[in-house]
Amino acid sequence: MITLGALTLGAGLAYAEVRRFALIAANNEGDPDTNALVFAETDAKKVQRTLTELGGYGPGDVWMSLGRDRPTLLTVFGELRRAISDARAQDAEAEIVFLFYYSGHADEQGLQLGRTQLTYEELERMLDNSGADVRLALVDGCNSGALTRRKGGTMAPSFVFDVTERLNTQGTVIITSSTGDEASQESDEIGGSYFTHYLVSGMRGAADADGDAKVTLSEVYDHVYRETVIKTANTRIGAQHPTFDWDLAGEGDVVLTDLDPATSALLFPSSLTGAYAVFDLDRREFVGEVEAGAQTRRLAVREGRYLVQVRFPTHLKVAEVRVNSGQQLDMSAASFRTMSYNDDVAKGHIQREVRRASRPESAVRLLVGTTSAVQAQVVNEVLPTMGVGGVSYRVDWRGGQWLAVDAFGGAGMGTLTMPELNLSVPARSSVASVGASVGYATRSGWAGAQAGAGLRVAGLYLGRSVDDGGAPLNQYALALSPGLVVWGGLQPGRLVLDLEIHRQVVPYTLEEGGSATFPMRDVLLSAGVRW
Amino acid sequence: MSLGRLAAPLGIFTLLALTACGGDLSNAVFVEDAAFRAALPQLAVSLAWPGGEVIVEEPATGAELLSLPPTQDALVELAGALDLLQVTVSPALSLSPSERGEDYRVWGPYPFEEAPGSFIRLEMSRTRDRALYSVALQAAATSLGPWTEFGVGLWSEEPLEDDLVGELGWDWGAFGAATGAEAQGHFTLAWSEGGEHLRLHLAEIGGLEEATMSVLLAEGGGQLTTEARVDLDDAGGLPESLTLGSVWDAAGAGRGALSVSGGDLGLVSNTAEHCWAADGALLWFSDEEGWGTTSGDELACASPPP
Repeated sequence: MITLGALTLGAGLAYAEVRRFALIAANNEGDPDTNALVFAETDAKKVQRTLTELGGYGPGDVWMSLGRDRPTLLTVFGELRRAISDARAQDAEAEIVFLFYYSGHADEQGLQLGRTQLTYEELERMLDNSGADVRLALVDGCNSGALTRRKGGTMAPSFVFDVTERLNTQGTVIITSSTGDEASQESDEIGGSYFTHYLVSGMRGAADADGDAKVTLSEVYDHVYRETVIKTANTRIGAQHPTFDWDLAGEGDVVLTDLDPATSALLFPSSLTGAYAVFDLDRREFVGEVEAGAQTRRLAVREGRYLVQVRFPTHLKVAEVRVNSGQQLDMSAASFRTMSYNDDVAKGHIQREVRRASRPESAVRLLVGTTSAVQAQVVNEVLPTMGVGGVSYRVDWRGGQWLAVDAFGGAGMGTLTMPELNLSVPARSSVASVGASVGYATRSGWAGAQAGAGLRVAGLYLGRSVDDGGAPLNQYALALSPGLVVWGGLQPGRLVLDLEIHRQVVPYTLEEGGSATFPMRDVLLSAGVRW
Repeated sequence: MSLGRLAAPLGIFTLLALTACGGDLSNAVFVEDAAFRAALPQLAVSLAWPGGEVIVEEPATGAELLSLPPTQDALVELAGALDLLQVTVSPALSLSPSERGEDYRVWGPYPFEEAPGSFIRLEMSRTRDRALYSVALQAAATSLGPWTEFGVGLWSEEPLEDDLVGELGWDWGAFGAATGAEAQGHFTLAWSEGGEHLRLHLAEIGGLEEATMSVLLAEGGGQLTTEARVDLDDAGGLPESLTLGSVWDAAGAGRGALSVSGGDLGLVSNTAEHCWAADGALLWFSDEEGWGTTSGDELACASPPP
């Protein structure tokens, strides 16, 4: 028998108050060599909502780091640790629980946060240094079993805890979605990863095996392990086995969620049979799955509209229901209708999300800067430097390739000085440029710092008007101009801030007998948004 | 997406880019402006009398037959023509062309310093091979015109006649008609490359019916030939024919032969010879008809007969 210790939710506790803090991290992006995940970040939101709705976590006690990199995660963790320290200072007797959840890519070394990595060693230090009495880590990522394997973790159907309601527990529990050499799988059918799907389902009630309306860690693990292995057994990749590691001192079980009778819920009486998947029509996501039959099952949900599905090999049975605040809706009274898979509303929503996630990242930026000839002699004698403004659209693929189109124009003023002719004349210059470029970008670093380089071809209009007091002299040149582009900048959140430099070759002879080309340079600052 | 797949289209696009261009962004137009300006006749020729002003020593009689004063007068006329040409075209050297074409430029209108209240417009064109330039001078009483052509010039890399490479005709009558100025007569100035050989033809200017002066400058000295029809006695009768040939050296010493005939003289003609020292002092004077007093000795003359 394995004893993890004891932890309950606040109601009815005799010895100490429990404060709960959580850090929810997720990133659809990982190493460039890996395919982007679709549901990692939405899975994290599901966990966050489940914890705040049912787990006794206040809205301000759950820190989120979605789609962010390692430095950001560490920054968020630093804030959370200060909050834990403050809570400790306010009530030295309080039992403090820290739950870390991660969904995203991982490998045998650590978690892949975009193109950055948080090693398992760092994660362990985070847990150890959190200042909490009980540390829970739920890691949903490929090869994440490497984390539990470091400490002798086990792949087992379930583990059993003594159930008490005492809060005298200290230590760490780590649960991972797969072993150290397995992939953790997402499913377009359920719109999430198998592990988190059954984790959330379990916390919402599907795992409440004893029907006491308190979902414990052992119940959840039992539920998640069973359902994940069964549902992934026939996938192309093969069965996925969650693992756990524990290092707790104390007695009792860890209660994750409390299915208070006052909570809105869907009830699945024992008269029903089969697996019922519940789709939130407002949030357009599956909120849980319940295996009905042996006893009445309850799935805690918020107030709203739901689609409840029972899947058969050739068709679905679907009931659309509305759950009011505090209502316990008995699904045996619901009216199910037969529907083909092609008409599945939930599937349509999820497929749209899949398509959206599969698209490369786009960014629209406004550009301001200067365009000038590289050679000072050309600037002084032919074409004064011009201030320019414009717009750029760039598409970034996960492999680092990027494609951009840009258009900008502008004008300048100056005095052309031609020493050989002993002539100085005022002139206005103008430029219009439409360019296309392709290249490779580096991985994003701190604050989304990223740089790229590539080839660019631009259709170029250069004009000038010379006012020497005589006949108006308006000249122009048109050229297709090949060149190079380098850029670098930051991508804080959805913002893009770049410095971009073009070095173009203008195939144009400025003076008889001179060079057949002359170089131009664009120096552009850009700001925009990406999506 | 593989950049390798893009290599071929990018290469083709780059080749196209390197060959596809158009327009004109060069300073060639300013270079051509300078070329036109440089082609304008700027005859930096000194026609001042060598040794400065001289006091002509006259014989007792026949002073009107001396060669030195008309020689100096002819040089003054030539210098005046050159100055006029310079004053006329000099604004074009500092102003930007008001019109530009591949083989022509127009300067002006600009005020004409020589005739206040009038305006000049200068059109200059050239052959495609730049071997022959021409200029047209137009005048008007306002800067808006209407424009009347009063001068036409032509110059070339190759001599147009003898060693003369340029020629400019100037019609004061047309200028006066266009601007309202009191002006009459016309002249034609021709020059060699460098201006060592100048020829000025005057007609109907003042009491002069017609005159042609040709000067050849060399080594500080010069040689002048003048043929004129002028009313020498200013009696309103028929104009006489006057022929003057003179030479002088770098110090100003020289000799000349002046012939008069026709006009009120009828069948009478006379030729007087005169040579002088650098300070203008009379060294020798003699005439065929004895209108003057022979003085000095021909042997004192430094130059042979012109």
